[in-house]
Formats: sequence, structure tokens, C-alpha cells
Amino acid sequence: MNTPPPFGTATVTLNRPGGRALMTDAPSGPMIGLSFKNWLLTILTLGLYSFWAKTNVRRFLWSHTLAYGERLEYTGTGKELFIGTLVVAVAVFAPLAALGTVSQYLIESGEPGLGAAVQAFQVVAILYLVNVGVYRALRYRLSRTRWRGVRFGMAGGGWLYGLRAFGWMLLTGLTLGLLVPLQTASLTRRLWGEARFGDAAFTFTGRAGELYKAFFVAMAGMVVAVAIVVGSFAAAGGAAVLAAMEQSDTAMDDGGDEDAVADSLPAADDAGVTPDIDGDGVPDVVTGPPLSPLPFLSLIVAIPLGMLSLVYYQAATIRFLFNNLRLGDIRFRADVGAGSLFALAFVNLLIAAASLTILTPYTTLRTLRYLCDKVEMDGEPDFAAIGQNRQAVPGSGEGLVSVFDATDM
Amino acid sequence: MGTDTTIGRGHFSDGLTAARTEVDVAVEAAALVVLGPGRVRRVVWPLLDLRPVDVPGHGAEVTVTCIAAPDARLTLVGEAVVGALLAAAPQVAPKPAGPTGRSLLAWAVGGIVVTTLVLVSLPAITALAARLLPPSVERVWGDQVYAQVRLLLGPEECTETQGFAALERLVGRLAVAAGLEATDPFTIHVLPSSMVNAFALPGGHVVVLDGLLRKAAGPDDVAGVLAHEIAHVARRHVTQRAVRDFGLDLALTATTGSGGMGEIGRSLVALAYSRDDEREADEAAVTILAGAGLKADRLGPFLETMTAGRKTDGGPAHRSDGEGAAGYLTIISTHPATAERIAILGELALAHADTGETALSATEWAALQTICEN
Repeated sequence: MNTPPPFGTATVTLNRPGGRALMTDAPSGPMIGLSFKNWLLTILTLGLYSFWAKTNVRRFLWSHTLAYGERLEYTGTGKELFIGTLVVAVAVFAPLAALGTVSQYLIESGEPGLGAAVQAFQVVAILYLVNVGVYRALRYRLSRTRWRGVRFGMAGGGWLYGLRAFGWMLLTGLTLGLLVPLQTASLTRRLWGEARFGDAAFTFTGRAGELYKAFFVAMAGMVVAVAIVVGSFAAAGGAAVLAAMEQSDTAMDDGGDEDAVADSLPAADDAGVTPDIDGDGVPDVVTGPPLSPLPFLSLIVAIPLGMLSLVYYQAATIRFLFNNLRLGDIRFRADVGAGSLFALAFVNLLIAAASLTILTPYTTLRTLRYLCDKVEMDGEPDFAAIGQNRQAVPGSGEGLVSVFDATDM
Repeated sequence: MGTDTTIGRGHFSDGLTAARTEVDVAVEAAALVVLGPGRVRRVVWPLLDLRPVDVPGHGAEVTVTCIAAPDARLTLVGEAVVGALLAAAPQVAPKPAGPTGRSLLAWAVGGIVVTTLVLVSLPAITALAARLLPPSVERVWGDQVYAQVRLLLGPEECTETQGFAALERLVGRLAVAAGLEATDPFTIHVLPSSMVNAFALPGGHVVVLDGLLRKAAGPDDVAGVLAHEIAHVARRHVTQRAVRDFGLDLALTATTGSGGMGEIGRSLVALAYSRDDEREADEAAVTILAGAGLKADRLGPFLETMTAGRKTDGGPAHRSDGEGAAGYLTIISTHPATAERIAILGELALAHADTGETALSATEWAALQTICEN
């Protein structure tokens, strides 16, 4: 710009309150109160209020997040989420559900091939749309976020992204998960490469190689955990355990299959003779050595090992995502470790469980605090050079992730 | 500028770039003005056109925008000027973040009360809803479920003539005693599985497995089991359970999402109602047997037999090792702990201790035991 700034040159200096460019001052008490309020109103409205509940949680969290000392704004409304869901329910979900019925009908009226094809098409369509929904959900949230009045944004409808993501889903599935780091790197680049703050673009430059080290360590951990479980069950006479569990002997079952196996297993009598109560010459149940506790003890070791491996990889992924993300001159930096991430996740799980998930928004607050503590922004961007976002703004949002249940916040 | 003008400091973003400038602001009688160098009036926003920007309130700052420039943001800093603006344009007052203190308590208590009400009234609601399900729909659904049972347990049905005739006669007496109308759908099936079990399906299908017939000490054991299953049908437990599961699913998904905790909560609640149904069926069974003029005191002992693997005629005793474990498993089982059921049945049977006739004659019983030998 050539004209002198009309308000003088006293640009607000970039604040780093407490030395941090990114921080949150969200208070716990009001968030807990908000969680209860959301919960009650959602029950009373049989779930209808959930759109407004989500919105006011986001407004709370966004407005308590500060970048360079200034707050983010969330400008979305519950009505937009509601309409987004309604549109998808009518225009997408209903036809797909109808396809399901059609395929059932075809199968039952003697056209199994055609029926299976229709069903396959329905499944493929749903998987594709879920991936499109991920793109569109981010786009909606970005378009409803402002800082200093400047909007974030994202172009495009997500249709091509959905195709790529679906393709990666297949590829990763076929290779039994070995391509997960590649998938993460590629899709994140495509997703965040389209994101904007004003007219400044985000860029993601992460290469999968960085993530593979952690990936293989985590895989090793998982393999060891599974081996421990399998090995100890095999050692304890796995065949006998399985056979005994198949004999569901509980009286007067009403068709459910949640019977306690324990109160229906006759055990071998003391002489070690196979019981044959009804005397028809056929043994009543396959007997074997009594169930030793070893297989179950192994779970005490294997489950934490498995979970730690997952958390280890998750922490590496978070570091990978932030460390390679840029916005113009701003570089992000994340210092997330597996231990602290595990502690966060574990306590969040306890809180959610103890409150029967009423306090889930509060756990989101804890996660926000954690991230703001671990993530930092480096660089001195020239904000005067960033213009307002002029992209078309989606009218409503998140219908796809809402209907296909792929949303987390 | 008039005497009722307050001047203070602020930060301003014009919404065209991400720049933010320190400015002087003036709160006048009818407008909020941003002043440029030399106190030139750069931006004039009528007070009535001001809108709050959603930031959590605290006394020393307020952020506003104007409907004519929705991308612009102006933050006033300093108690004097903030106070002046709030007095002149109260619509821009920041709203508190979330309920605290008494408000929080009120919301929490309200939530708990409502949830309790819903759970308590659920049986009545689902009973009503189940009654509204058209019998034709239930019959079709029941036929489908039975078809799946056949898929699992094999396509053969036990239909040996004499045995089946004996069974039908017995079942007929029990059905009348249970108050089943001729129009109520009801079909009895015997399947050649060695499992010791019997169950009721939607649409009035009752399935008895051969293993149970073989394990019974006499026809009254079988009559007890049949009475229990017929009670399920007469009280429409199966349909009610399906409606209730669906309703619970709907209600709890709405409030708690479909995450893992929601699933567990749903299961626990559903199982609690299942156990209520079983208790009710046990009580009704005794009433039905007595009403049909049959012995009503064999259901408890037969339950004990089936779970402890012991015949009450003095055969070899095999105590189930799992009985202790079964105690703590009650909460996750669909049936109240068997010991509890046996105790309750024992008490109920006391009133009918030596009354009633044997369910089947010796010939009929012999025929029933060979029903699966075609």
C-alpha cells in the first residue's frame, strides 16, 4: 500500500504475554457449568440442542484462546450446524439408507449379485462422503474463526480431497496399516495447504520419513503386546478355554447372548472323570485343565504396553503436524511427549467416565490448555501485509461429519 | 466535541488487513469515533449500530464492531472509556462465559432430576409404545428372528407326532392360564440342540431346545420353563425390550454421544430392565402354573439343577466352580443371580406346596422326551 496508514503508524506491538505467543486463559468453573447446562438442555430437547451446545463450547474455547495476546473469535451459530445436518440427512443420508433397503430387497428376491453390488456401492459412497466431510468440517470451522477481524478460510468443496483420502484409506487398509505415516503426511499437506488466514496461506512441509521412526517403534510395541497375549493364552491350553466358552449353558435364555459363562460351566469331578449327567454316553462338556490365571495376568502387561505404543505414536504425530506447519512467517513448534500426552488422555478418560460423559467439554478444555502449553509460534509476521479473506463462505456446515458421526467436537 | 464525550485509548483493525493500530477513541452522545493523527475523526460508528464482539468480559476492555463494517474490530482500553461506552450503548456489554455458582448448581440438579425422571418413566413409556406396535409387524419381525435362530441352530425341527401333541396340549393349558387370546400370535418350536435352554422371540415364538428336555427330571420341570417363557410372551417383554433398547439408544445417544462411555451406560441400563423382566416372568410363571392347576414348585429346583449340574434325584453332584464368580457378574448378566431367583421362586412356591397335578401323564412324558427322534 502506498497511502500512509490513516491511523498513524503506532501499530500494536506483537504481544507475548508471559513469553508465549499462543496461550489460553479459559477458566474451569464456567466450563463445567456450561457442560451441565448443555447436557440438561440436550436431554430436554432429545438431542436437538446439541448443535447449540457444540457452538457455545466452541465460542467459549475460541474466545479464551489468545494469539499474540489477542483473542480468537468463533462466529458460527447453532442454526448453521442444524441446517447443515438437516440438509445432509435429507439429501444424502436418506437416499443412501434407501439404497440399503433396495439391496436387501434384491438379495431376498433372488438377485444376490445385484444386491451385493448395490450394497457395495452404498458402503463406498458412505466412506467417500465421510472423507469429504472431514474437509468440509475444517473449512466451516476455519471460515467461522476470526482474529483481529480477519477470517480464516479454505477453498473448494472437498470432493477431490475426499477422493484422495478414500484412496489412501483403501491403500492403507490393503497394506495392513504400514502406509499410515505416508497417508498422514500426504493428506495433511492437501488439507492444510488449502487453509488460509486472510489471504496468507498455510503450508505443510512434513515428509513421511520423519514419522516412520516413531511408527516402527510403536508397531514393535504393539507386536510385543499382542505376542504376549497370544503366547500366554496358547500356553494355558487355549483350545480348552475356547471350547468351554462356546458351551453356553445358562438356563432360559431369552435370546440374548450376554450370559455369564462362569455360572454355567460344570467342572470335571474330583476323580477327573468326564461328567455325563444325562447318561446318554455323550460327554456333557469338553473338559480340560482348570483355567489358570496366567492368560489374564498377561493382559495387565499387554494392555498398557499397547496403549503406550499408541500414545507414543500419537505424540510423534502431533509433533510432526505442528513442527512442519507454517503460516507465512510464522512457524509452529510442538513439544509434546508421550508421557504427558498419556497423562492427559488418561485423566480425561477418568473425568469423562466419572461424569458419564457430561464433562466431555471440560476434557476438551484440558486438551486445549495442554496444547497451548506445548505449542508455540515463532516469527515476527507483518500483519499489515495480510489482507482480509475474500473466499466464498459456506452457508452452513458439518452436515456430513454430523450425520455420519465422524465429529469430535 | 461536546462535554459528554469521553476520550480514551483503543486498538483498531479496519478489517481490510490484519494490522492493528493504537488509536484514540471518543465516546460521544450518538457515536463512537476513532481518531486519527491530529484528532481527525477517521471512523464514526453510530452507537445504535454497534455490536458486541464475542469476547469474555472483563471490566477494563470491551471489543465492538459496527454493522456497516462487520470485519472491523475496535477494542476500548481503560475503565473510564469502557464505562462510558457501556452506559451509552448497553447492547455491547460482554456476556459471561458460562454458568457459575448457584446457576451451575441449578443446571446440575436439573439435569440429574430430568435424567432420573426419564429412566423411571421409561418402562411405562416403552410398554405403551410396544402396545402400539401392530401385531402384523411384530409377527413378520418374529418370523425373521426365528429364521435366524434356525440358521444358527440348524434347520431341523423336532416334530415327532406324539411328543409334539403332548407338548401342544400342555402349552395350550398354560396359554389359557396366562390369558393369551386366540388372536395373539403364539407358536411353540422344539429344536434338536443339546444346549439346555429355552427362549421367547418376538411374534410369540417360543423355542425349547432338546437339551433342556433331556435335563429335566420330570414334566413339571418343563412346564415351569414353558410357563416362564409364556409369561414373557403374555407380558410382551420381548417387544418391550426392543422398543426400550431403541428408545434408550435414542435418548442416551442424544445426550452422551455414541462414544464408549455411552455404550457402557446404555448396556448397564438395558441390562437392569432385563433383570426386572426376568423377575416378573418368574412370578408370573408360578401364577400361570397354579392357574392351570399344575404343580408350581418345580421351576426353582430345576433352575438349580441346570446351573449346578446336579440332578435332584440324588445323582452325582457336580458343583459349578463358577458360582462364586457369578456373584459379581450379576451386574453384567441379563439374569439376576440364579441364587436370588431360586430363593424368590422357592418363596412363591410355598403357597402352592402340595397342590396341582403333574403336567403330563407318564406316556406323554415319555413321548415328549423322544420328540427329537424322528
